[in-house]
Amino acid sequence: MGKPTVEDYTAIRMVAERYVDAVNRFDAEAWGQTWAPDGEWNVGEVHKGREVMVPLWTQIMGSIPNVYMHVYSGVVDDVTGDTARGRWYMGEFLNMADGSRSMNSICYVDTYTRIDGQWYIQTREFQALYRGPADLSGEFAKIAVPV
Amino acid sequence: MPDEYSAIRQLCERYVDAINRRDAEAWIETWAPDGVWEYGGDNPPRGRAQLAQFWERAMSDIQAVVMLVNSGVVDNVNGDTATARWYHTEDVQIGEDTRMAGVTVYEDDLVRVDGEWRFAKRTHELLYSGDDLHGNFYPYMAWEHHH
Repeated sequence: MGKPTVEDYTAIRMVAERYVDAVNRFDAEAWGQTWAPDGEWNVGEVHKGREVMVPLWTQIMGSIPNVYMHVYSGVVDDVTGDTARGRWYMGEFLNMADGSRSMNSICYVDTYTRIDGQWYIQTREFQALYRGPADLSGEFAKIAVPV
Repeated sequence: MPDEYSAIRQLCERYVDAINRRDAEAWIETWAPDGVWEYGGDNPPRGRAQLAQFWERAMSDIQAVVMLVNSGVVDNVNGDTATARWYHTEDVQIGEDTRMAGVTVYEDDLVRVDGEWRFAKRTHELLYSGDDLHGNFYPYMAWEHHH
């Protein structure tokens, strides 16, 4: 287990920011490119492989009139060769098809793989920290980070 | 790429810092000598002299502003030029009574002058504007138009 270099941290932060940029632009190809080809997206159930995840994401995004997602903070640790672990705190403002709106604060708990010098998301587990009105009057949830 | 990303992020963070501190000189320093600010109106300011005049007019209406860089992507670094886009939140007080919360995306052309990245051109698009962040966000239209 190794401490990340500044370059590792920055490169992985860039992946996190590319991910939210792809969401904001509804760009399925750019979103797919943030994942390792055999990546696993855990949103309660696990979806594996770009060829599975990208159509699922496209379907989910098709049900959302609009979303703005951004990266708050993140941590990269345990860089070992071409693998790493990290987690990123993100905010989401969602306009839903039924006219409802919500603000989510989430954490993605990730592993990464470096392929040909480029970091990709290998596994990503969704954890909701807050979902509710933008004035933060709703209930918060505790993060459970797998050890 | 992580080096260019970090350097360009610093430029963007200096830009919002200059606005928040109302520091005209620091803001003008972020622009290339012939930089152009396509702010969305007629006769966009081009070059540092026009930018300085624009700043005086624009800031005179603004009582207070807090602009923050959220996330961003740097694309297409090609020698001493690059393109990027950065998402921001902007909370603004105009006059005594008007307060607005906004989300903006800036699409940038960058140029490296004497080893320092500067804005050659910035265009921006409003993704959200309202009293708070409870309302509907706008779609990222420019992406469809430009690409």
